[in-house]
Formats: sequence, C-alpha cells, structure tokens
Amino acid sequence: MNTKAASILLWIFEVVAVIAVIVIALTIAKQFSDETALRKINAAEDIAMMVNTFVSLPGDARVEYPRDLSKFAVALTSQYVVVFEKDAKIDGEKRNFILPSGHSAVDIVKQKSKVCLKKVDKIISVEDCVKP
Amino acid sequence: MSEDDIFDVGRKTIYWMIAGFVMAMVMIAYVMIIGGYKARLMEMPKEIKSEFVTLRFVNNPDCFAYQDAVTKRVFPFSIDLTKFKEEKRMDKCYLTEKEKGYKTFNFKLLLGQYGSVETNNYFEVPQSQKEYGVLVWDGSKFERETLLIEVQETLPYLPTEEQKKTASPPTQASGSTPSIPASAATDSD
Repeated sequence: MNTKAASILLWIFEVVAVIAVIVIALTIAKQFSDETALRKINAAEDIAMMVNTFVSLPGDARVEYPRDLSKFAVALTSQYVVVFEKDAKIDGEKRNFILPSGHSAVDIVKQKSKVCLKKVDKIISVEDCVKP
Repeated sequence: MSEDDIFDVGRKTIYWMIAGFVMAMVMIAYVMIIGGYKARLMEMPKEIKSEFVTLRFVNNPDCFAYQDAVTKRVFPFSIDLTKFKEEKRMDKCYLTEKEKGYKTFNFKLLLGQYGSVETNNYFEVPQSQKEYGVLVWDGSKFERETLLIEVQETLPYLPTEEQKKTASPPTQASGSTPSIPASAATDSD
C-alpha cells in the first residue's frame, strides 16, 4: 500500500468523521429545541388532565383549550388522548387516563386553532370551538 | 514503504477505532442528557396530576359522592357510606390495568371510623398523602369526616413483601382541605 495514499485516506476519513459528529450533534440539538414538539407534549398533558378534571365534575361542562392547536390533531378515546401532527402512530404524543365505568371519551379534531373539551352526561368529547 | 510508515498507518487505525467508540459513547450521553433535561423541563408535578384524579372520589356520583335520589343533586366533597361500603365500587370508579396497573397512580382511601378502600393495584407503598374534609351521608344525615388518601405513584416494578413492610409512610400531607359551610352539613335540598 502506498503510504501517501493511506495517509490521505485517513486524513479524509478524519475530516468526514468530525463533520459527521458535528452534523449529528446539531441535528439532535435542533430536534430537542423544536418548539412544536414541546407544545405537542404540553397539549397532550393538559388535555389528559382536563379529562380527569371533567370526570370530577358532577355536571356538564365545556372548556376551551387556551392555546392554538392549529398545527395538531387531537384524538380522544376512552383510554387515552393523542396529539399528533401528521400520523398518530408515528409522531403522536399519547397520555393515558382512567375513566369510571359508564364514562367514555370520543372524537377527533384536526388543525383547529380553538379546541374545546365538552362533557355532556358521561361523554367527554373534543370539538372545534368555532363550530357553527 | 518503510517500517515507520507501516506503524503510522496501523497506529491511526487503532486510534480511530478507539476514537470512534468514544465518540459514539459521547453522542449517546449527549442525547440522554438533553433528553433528560427536556423531560425534567416538561415534567408535571405528580401531586397535581394525582389531585385531579382523586377529586372524582368525592365529586362524582359514580364513585362515592352522595347524590340525592329525588333531586339528583350531587353534593361536592361528600361520601355516600352505602357506596363506600359497596364491594367492587372502587373498580367501577378507578380500575387500573390488571398486569401493569402498578405503573400508574393507585390510591387508598381512609375514612376515619368507616374503614378504607383501595384501588386494584395498591401495594401499600404510599409516596404522598392528601386530605379532604368531607361530608359523610349515612343514609339519614351528614356527618363531618376527614378523608385521607394515600397516593402510590408510579412503581418501577412490583414490590416484594419485604419492601411493603419497610415502606415508610408519607410524612408530608399535601392537598387541600376545603372548608365546608356549616349550612351544607344539614342541607337536604
């Protein structure tokens, strides 16, 4: 093997390796600092707590979620709430809750800026606040 | 190729093998540290979460709250003794997953002289306590009582018998004790 060629190859490898490490580090940092992801986690957490609060209310109620959810879709089931951007299975943020028997949670809203949570009798649902 | 050149290439190869391993470890640590920081930043205090869950025990008529049979009025922060003593009532109110339910909140409700009920995955490992001032409906009248709720937060694994025995009782009582107007105690609506 030619020594010079081997040396140049190693030099190229060193440069590529350093660039790769920098790019990976920056990508990870950018991913973690993404505000959308944080807002998604917050929304899922908040809505799960709102559902628990609704269960503690003896009567009916309707509450508007105070933040803009136009970038997300919110899906509610009787076991969990999932907030996602495009696909619930891939980028969904899921939070579980436990409902008393007889109670249920349903519905989905997609890309609505104002989202409301509603409890009528024993059914908790999520809906567009400005629904006609 | 001289002997020195051969050693130089060999040395660099070994160096990069070690450096590659170290860099991989550093990157993993970096991801874990940032991930952990983010999780801590976003973490919601468990006391608040458990507070929202426990309120159902005293406010929801499907749990233990007293509901007037005629007017259907539900009395907030009340306990119907019939419901409290009913077998499996807690399961209707708060039933965690049979297998992995210990990974979520579980509770034990202690109602003074009237005894206690607990959720299906409560293993006597309380991490915090809550206290509510409640009105107990005994079938004919209300009586004031204190409802103590022991909160067992997420357990990483099922506790052994030994751990259950040595589990230290929570020292700090948290939660609220709402004041109940005297008139409410006699309000039959």
